[in-house]
Amino acid sequence: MYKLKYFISEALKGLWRHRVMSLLSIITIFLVLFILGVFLMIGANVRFAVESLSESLEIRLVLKGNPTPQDVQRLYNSILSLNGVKEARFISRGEGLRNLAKELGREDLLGLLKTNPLPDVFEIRVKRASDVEAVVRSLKGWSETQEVIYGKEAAQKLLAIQRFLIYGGGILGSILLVSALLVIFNTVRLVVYARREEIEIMKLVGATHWFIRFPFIFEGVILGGVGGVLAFGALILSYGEAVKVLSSQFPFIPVILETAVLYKLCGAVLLLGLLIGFGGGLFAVQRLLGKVAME
Amino acid sequence: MISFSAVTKVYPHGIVALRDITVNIEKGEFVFLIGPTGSGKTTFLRLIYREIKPTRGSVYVMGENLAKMKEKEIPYLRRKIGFVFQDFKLLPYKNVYENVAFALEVIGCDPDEKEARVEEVLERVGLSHRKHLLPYQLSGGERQRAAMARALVYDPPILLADEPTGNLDFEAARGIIDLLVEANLRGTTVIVATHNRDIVNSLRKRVIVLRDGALVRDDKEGGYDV
Repeated sequence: MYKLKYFISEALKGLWRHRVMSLLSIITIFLVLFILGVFLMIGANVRFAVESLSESLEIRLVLKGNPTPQDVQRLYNSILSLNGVKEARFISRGEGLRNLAKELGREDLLGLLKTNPLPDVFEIRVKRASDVEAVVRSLKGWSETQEVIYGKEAAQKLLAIQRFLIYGGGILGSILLVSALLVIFNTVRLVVYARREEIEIMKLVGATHWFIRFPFIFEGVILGGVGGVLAFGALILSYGEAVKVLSSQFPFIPVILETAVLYKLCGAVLLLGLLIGFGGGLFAVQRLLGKVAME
Repeated sequence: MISFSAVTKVYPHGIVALRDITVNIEKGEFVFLIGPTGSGKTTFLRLIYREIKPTRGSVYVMGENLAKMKEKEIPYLRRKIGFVFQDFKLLPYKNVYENVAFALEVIGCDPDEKEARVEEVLERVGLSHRKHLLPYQLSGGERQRAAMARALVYDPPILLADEPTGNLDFEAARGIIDLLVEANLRGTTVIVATHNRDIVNSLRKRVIVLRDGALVRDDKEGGYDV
């Protein structure tokens, strides 16, 4: 306990003694984590928007002949058992005609036609745009199927956007993450390097390597943690403002409003700050400790 | 206590610092290590506190073969060795008391014991009244006394001093040497690398002379010159 207090107090004293450098490090870590957080939030929202659009993709299964209610039930179960199907709804030819009359504003349409020319259909919705093709392929193979109608182009476009998000976003995100790691890592390393004389004296008076490492690790964690907390706060605040502007200017763009998702994202940014601070502190002091041992 | 057996140290780029040195230093001895700049004095001291390893030969300190010592054992060796350097190596942002206490803190000393030992050693080196001052507020002699206090605070069996009087006037140098002699009288083995002819000649202690890395003289009660 005494040692823990000693390490924390030494870490805080060290940061205060080199306060200009500490402050600059915190600002750097904050900015890097904030930019990373903004990227993550944009990525999550674009993905959310694409998924919302995917849900509105509709497949219409047009049935042959006059299926019995038993056939309809069997087909309904088969549709739901297909991978990627979110929901399905049967629209009988009678219901279809009533809907059409309502859409056209011609309530007399039913009386004008001698026979109902419309087929029985199922309206099917999928979970993701990438599920459309597979579901359509399955439906086309059924003997009861007369035709499968779906927005092929829209599905393909959405699929392309999703693919771009997965690969492009992954690459861009990785580059940003690695840059963030390197910047923070080097910032903490510089703080530790400024203290090499202290480390040399600690070694001379018989401090063990772990005793030397601990205050520096704490310093790294404090730098990363403070930068992370600032980034966390700034992200939450700026996201709220951005959503307000988007909702008033572009109300048709779907955005994530669920706070749990936001806190998870921002929490990840904070955790990242702490982890990199820890790693930066540990590796920087390790290099200084290793220098003499190498000779 | 300290034994060098056919020790040669070659630094990178082929610079030979010590050549085939064999020497024994017994417990409680006071030894002056003299020789021109670059003769290998500092390398000799660095080998004792295992800052470096010999290229050939072996160095034993208190029965331990330092070449075979594991990295994690080195801090425990150093707790048995006090150091005094020409440039004092005091932490500029800690006052005298804190600089001395630092040596005990890093070995995890109990706070009450730490206070008692620091007060006692500051009294011994005559710095009790200056303990709240920072290094830059002290004279050169006082800074070296503070460094001495840090070296002596855990009563090490061995005390190494590398040019401890190099930056001091005669009076201050005399004061530091008196402290080294006093530590030696208490049983500490003292090795002093120095260029200070007057002090070596006045004390008449054992003198080991190095030149170009070779041991050229080892006198029981020697002087600076033959």
